[in-house]
Amino acid sequence: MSNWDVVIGLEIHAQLQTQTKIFAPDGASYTEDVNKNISEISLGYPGALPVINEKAIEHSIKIGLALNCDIRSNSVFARKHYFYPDLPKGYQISQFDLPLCEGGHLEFSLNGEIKKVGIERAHMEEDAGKSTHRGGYSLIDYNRAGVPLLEIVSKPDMTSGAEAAEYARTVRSILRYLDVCDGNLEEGSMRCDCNVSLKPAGQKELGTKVEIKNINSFRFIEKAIDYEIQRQAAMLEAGEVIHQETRLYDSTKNKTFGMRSKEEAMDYRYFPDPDLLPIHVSEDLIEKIRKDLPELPIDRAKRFTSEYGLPEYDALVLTADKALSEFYEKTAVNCKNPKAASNWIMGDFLKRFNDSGLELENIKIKPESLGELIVLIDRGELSGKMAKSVFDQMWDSGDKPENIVKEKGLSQISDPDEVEKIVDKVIHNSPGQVEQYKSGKDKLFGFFVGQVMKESKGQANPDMVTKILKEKLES
Amino acid sequence: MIDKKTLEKSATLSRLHLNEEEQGLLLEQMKRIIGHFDNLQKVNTEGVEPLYKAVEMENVWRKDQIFEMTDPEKLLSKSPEVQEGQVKVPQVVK
Amino acid sequence: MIESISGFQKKIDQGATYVNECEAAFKRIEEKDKDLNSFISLNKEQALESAQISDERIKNGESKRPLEGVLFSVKDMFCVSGTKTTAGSRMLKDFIPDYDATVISRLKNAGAVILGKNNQDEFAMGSTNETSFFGPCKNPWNNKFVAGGSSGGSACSVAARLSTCSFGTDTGGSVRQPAHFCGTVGLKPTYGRISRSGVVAFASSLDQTGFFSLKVEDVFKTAEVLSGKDLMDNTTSSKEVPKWSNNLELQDLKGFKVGVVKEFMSTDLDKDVKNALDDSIEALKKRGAEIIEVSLPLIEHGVAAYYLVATSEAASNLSRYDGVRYGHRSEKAKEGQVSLDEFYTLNRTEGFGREVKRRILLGNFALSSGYIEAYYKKACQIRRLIREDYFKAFERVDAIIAPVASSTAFKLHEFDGKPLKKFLNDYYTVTVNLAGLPGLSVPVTKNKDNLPIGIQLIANQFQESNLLKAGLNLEDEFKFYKEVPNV
Repeated sequence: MSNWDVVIGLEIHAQLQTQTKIFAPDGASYTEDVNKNISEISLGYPGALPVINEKAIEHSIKIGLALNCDIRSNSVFARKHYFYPDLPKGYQISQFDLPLCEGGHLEFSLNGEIKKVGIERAHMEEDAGKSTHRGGYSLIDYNRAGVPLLEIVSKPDMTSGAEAAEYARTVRSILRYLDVCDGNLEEGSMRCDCNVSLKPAGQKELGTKVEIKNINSFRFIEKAIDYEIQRQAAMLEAGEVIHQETRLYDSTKNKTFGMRSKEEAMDYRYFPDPDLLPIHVSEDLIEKIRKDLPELPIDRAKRFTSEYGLPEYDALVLTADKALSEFYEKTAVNCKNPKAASNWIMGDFLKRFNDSGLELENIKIKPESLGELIVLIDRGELSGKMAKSVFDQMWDSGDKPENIVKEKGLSQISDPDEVEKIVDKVIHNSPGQVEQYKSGKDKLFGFFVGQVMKESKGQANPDMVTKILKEKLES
Repeated sequence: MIDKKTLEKSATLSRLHLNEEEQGLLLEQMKRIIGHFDNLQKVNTEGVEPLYKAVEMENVWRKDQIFEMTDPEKLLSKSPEVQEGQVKVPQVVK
Repeated sequence: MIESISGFQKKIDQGATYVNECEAAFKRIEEKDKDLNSFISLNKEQALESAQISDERIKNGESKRPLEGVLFSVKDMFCVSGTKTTAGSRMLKDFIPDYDATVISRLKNAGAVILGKNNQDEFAMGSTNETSFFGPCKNPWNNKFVAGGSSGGSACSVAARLSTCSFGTDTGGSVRQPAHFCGTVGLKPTYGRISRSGVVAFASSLDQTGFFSLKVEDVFKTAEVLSGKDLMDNTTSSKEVPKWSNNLELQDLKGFKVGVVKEFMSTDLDKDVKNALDDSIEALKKRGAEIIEVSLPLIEHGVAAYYLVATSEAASNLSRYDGVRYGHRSEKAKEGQVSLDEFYTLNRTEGFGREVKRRILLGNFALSSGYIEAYYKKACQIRRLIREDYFKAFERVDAIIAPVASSTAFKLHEFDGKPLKKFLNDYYTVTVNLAGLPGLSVPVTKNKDNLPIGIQLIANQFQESNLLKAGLNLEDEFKFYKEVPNV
């Protein structure tokens, strides 16, 4: 792979959470019933005119600011023409050469390194309806036609599938922090297209890019891109030419494949939509929105490092997801041990969470409970090892730690007299090993520790065991 | 200027079919018309911003509140073919 | 026969009923319109219901609404709920919207009666009403000639005294020219005065609803009721609508400056039209106006710039007509053996007439990659320069006087197969739309073929009051409304 530079750019479409569609007063949220959220405007009836939704503009500005973009003071809607049954007017209202947002950037951590990816632009547009394909015919539902979208186009700054996936995760995180889009790749409220091209190492001119459309998970983004890179590299090595095309990703085969080839590149005939005025955004409005922005992931990460003394990497992991960061913070505040809270969440918690495939709002364990667990450990009432088992039970049942500890009698034995009793018992029962230890076999110390733990059913406070054992064996 | 190939391209973009005769006639007419349009090239427009809206106007943004315009069922009933509450068209994907 | 809104209201005051007047109008339409073909469809049930309500209001002593019971007809570009709205096209020949255009609901709220939908060129594309799927509309003064277009039916029905006032749309002259051909008053207000919501779109940045009547005061009374910001149309202006109906008295033109366009004077006008124009200028001078020569140096490029912008926007606006959600769907397509592209192509090829197809092809050409800079964008640059020329002229004059067309009404079929020649006839009207200006056509005389001649007044944006002032004077001078065609 060292012969080739990999160039990756991502186009992300975010469905904005507004009450109504971008150009029509029909409802914009998902509904079971087909063709219910429709009007003459969203269906492109004769004489119907688009009317811009102020919330869609506000949400878009929010996203632009969070992506460090410049917000254009006069941006223009343009018509993008093509024929497709889910596109009622025969054109999509989008933005072309004067988009709302331009020139931003995004930072995120990948394998301990901080990456920075440029944002080319973000522009507003309307969504199309949904087609269902059957044998010989297709059915169209227009509920989604006209839902507001913000298309976020990155600069081609990424160089690996992993980086692209992490970029996409970061964008999603920001969208959720802003509460403007729920960023669900599977359901399609966030859609991701990837552009991949290769060029000879060091060459300035970019190679031909291939688009991979509509990848519906972050893992697949990484895999699809990795596959595509290999595919293109193999072709180039063999002297073949890469043609500009659109491909889809098959997750079962882990391959990208070409769509039925289109005759020619579409001529969209963009021109400014004469039914709409330019969006004039005042400095005042931008400042107002900027002021009201919630704490963004990167700022929260900085705050976690300064307020809770967490290392940068940990802070980035904990703030990647808004709900997770809130879970962490509640836990940390509750147990007053931010470092321990961080260790628990980044360790046992995330392991079980990732395996579960659940959403954070659906897990049983509560941050307050995790906090209490940490308090028990800090007080010495529960050994670290025991705590792991308690945690697992908390995860499964949602029960509070004290209840589990009490029920299962798992309290750590930290009373020195009690520990001493057990140590004495073990020493008494292992004279041979004591003899060997005293004559120089230091390694046998572990044997005694093991015996004490066995005798105490794992509940003896390990530090105390070590201390008392040492005292007794050295005397 | 326009030639047969360009006319065909335009017809495809327009989703219009022209038979041989129509094509021939139309091409002649459009050549003349576009020939007239070409006179615009005589005018020096360097530095002139294109004008897309003749009258200056203030934009008014719509409040994000749902209201029903026309009954969705009535709208849907205009479609020549409806199945399962959805608009039916020939297959999109071959 | 009702010749003006005030005349009508007087008749009602003297004891006539709205229902009787409405019924009489339908009777007259049935008799006279067979030959003229100024209506595509009639709205009998709704109209009589509306007239009935008006009569009851009078009986109950309720106040009269601004256009109570007035007999209107509207071009078939206006969506009227429950009535066929065809835009003169096969594509929409059976289309019945369940919504009213904003201007139609405002018209209804003002108490007016809508007699029916007027004939027009298909999708408002044309200048003779000959491209209509429903047959041409003839000139009521001489049926060997056309009524004009694209709002031919609207002009004709007012001239023939079938309706008192009518609605048209004016994109490049489609109200002013048929008004001139048919000897009625035709007003096109400033772009943005009147909502386009619910009006079938031809060219969005040029289209404007306009009005026909026999007397100048009536187009202004109507315009006043219908103008004003509409939240459902982002391209309407928030500028306050002047109370034109408070300024309907004739005033002299002392201090009023009228511009005569240098470039128009050197064009080939028919002798009759030239004489009418000269007489009109004299009349205004006589009444106190100062006549000043102005120049619109780029006016010769108006037709090209207009047709590039108009066809581009039209090609785009007509993309929605595909037979999917409404409108014409080909029988061949219904059989279900066609591909999607064939489906679209069949529906559109069958649904649209020749002129519409030609303009869609031109428009998509002008917008297409490789051509858009030299054609569409270039036209928009010229548009800015033309508007500048007008703004400069209006720094020196209050209104411009000009011909509407170089001749009187064309013979039927005169321009068959000659589309460019036909376009060039729009020379005097199209730049008014490019610059978003208001324009008024006032009938002044007839020629020996009995064909009317109207004269055009043009004012700066939002200065319709100047058109009213000068228009009332022209009308008072020539009193053309006294002429009645023999239908």
